[in-house]
Amino acid sequence: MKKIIKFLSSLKLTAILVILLVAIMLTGGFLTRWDSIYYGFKEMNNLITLDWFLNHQSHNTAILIWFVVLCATAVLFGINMVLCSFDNLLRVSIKRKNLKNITLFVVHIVFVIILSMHALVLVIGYKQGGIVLTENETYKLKDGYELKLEEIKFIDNKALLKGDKKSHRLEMTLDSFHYKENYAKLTLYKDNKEIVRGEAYIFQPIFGEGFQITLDKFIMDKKTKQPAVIITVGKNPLTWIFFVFYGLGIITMLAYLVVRWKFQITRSK
Amino acid sequence: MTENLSLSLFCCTLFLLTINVLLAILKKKKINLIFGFITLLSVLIAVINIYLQSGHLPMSGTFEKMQNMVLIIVLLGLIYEFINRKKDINAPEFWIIAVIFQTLAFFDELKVDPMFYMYDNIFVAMFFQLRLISIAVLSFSVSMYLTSLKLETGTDEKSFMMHHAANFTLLGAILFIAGEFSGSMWAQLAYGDSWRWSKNFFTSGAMFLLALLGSHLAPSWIKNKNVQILLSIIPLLIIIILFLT
Repeated sequence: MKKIIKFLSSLKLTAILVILLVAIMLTGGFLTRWDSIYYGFKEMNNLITLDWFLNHQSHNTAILIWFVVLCATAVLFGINMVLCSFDNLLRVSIKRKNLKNITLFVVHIVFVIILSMHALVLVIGYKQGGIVLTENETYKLKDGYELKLEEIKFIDNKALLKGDKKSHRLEMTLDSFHYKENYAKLTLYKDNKEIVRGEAYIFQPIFGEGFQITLDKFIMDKKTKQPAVIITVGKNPLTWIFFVFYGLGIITMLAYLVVRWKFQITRSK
Repeated sequence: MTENLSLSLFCCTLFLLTINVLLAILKKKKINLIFGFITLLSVLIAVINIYLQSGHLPMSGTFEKMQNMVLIIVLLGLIYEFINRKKDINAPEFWIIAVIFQTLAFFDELKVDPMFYMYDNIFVAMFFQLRLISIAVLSFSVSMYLTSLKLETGTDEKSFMMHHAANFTLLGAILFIAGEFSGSMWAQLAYGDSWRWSKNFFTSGAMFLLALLGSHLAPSWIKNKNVQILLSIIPLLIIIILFLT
């Protein structure tokens, strides 16, 4: 048992797992060259990852295998990080009692929390993305929720919404697309009772009752030839706590760098 | 007018960088430092001109991002040269890397991006800027490792350069993850989630892990200092290639 723990907490395993994770990530990026996989990943973004994994009807086999391998490696990496932090870094911090080792230990602990939160954000809460709505249209969400688009205000040239993906992006300059003035007025109902109402702008979602209603983009409705919107509805209690720890992670890394830098200068004198 | 000016400044910087490379190779330290500051001024004016011309800081266009990165590399290099002017370390590597980056702009159109609406958002701007700065810092770290490779093993200079190269790698990683933080905020506000299952997010994840790989290779595994240096450089080169492609 001691041998297993020693192996699981070793720096050698860390290096191997980091290289493996890099390879997996790059493979994932490479796989998106195939249309079926590209759209498969796109569908993954529409749901909480756990919901996608458990309920989605048409899993792409390549994505599924890739995802399982990624999760297994990430779990092993998490275990290695926890054991390495407590078995090696904490022990060294207590033994040597210098600021450099203590900061290094803190950096690792904060990153263990960030990793755990990242994993939790992917499995808890609710998310439904890719909701296409035209004016006065309603979309039924689960658990008796309903989203209604009351109004779209789009003051710019509608031809802007007709182009293909690349030209669409290139034409969206600040002069041609007034993102602070175009909006979608939305209402969220629970069992026919209004719970959230507001105007969603690009980069400015509606927040209320724990929900975030995000306006992804404006598109052209092919049937009515009028602007439509793509909406994402999400609810995740951990999102903003995750961001706090993310920021804390950066600050602790910076603190470690300062301590490390100074220590070396002192020694070289 | 401003477009012509940005092209002229770009060419002027390229010319000055080439002179600096030659001076550094010829070990003309004093003249190199003077020319270096003129080069810094030239590239600084070029970046300011990009801002005045387009209304945004250098973001994703090759022409603008290369000049922004050259500015950071030259700035760091000159600070280092100035601080260590009495030490016997000749470091033309950062000039060579700067000239390579400036030349890479020729692989794309030599023009500045228009002001896309998303550039107006603080998190988008921070994401691109921090990423640019982090890659420039990591490139500077590569130049330091390359300099240390030439120095004699066991000397204080070699240990000094290796230690500071590792510091700059860590600084690059911190700036990179700060950029990712901004990117996650951008994704949260624009798409309703901090994480996206997409090629860009996978590549970013890989780049961050690669930046930390060097510091997770225990020195006790490889005794040879030059092999240690090479193993630290390889992940950084992969990051730079991923960024450029």
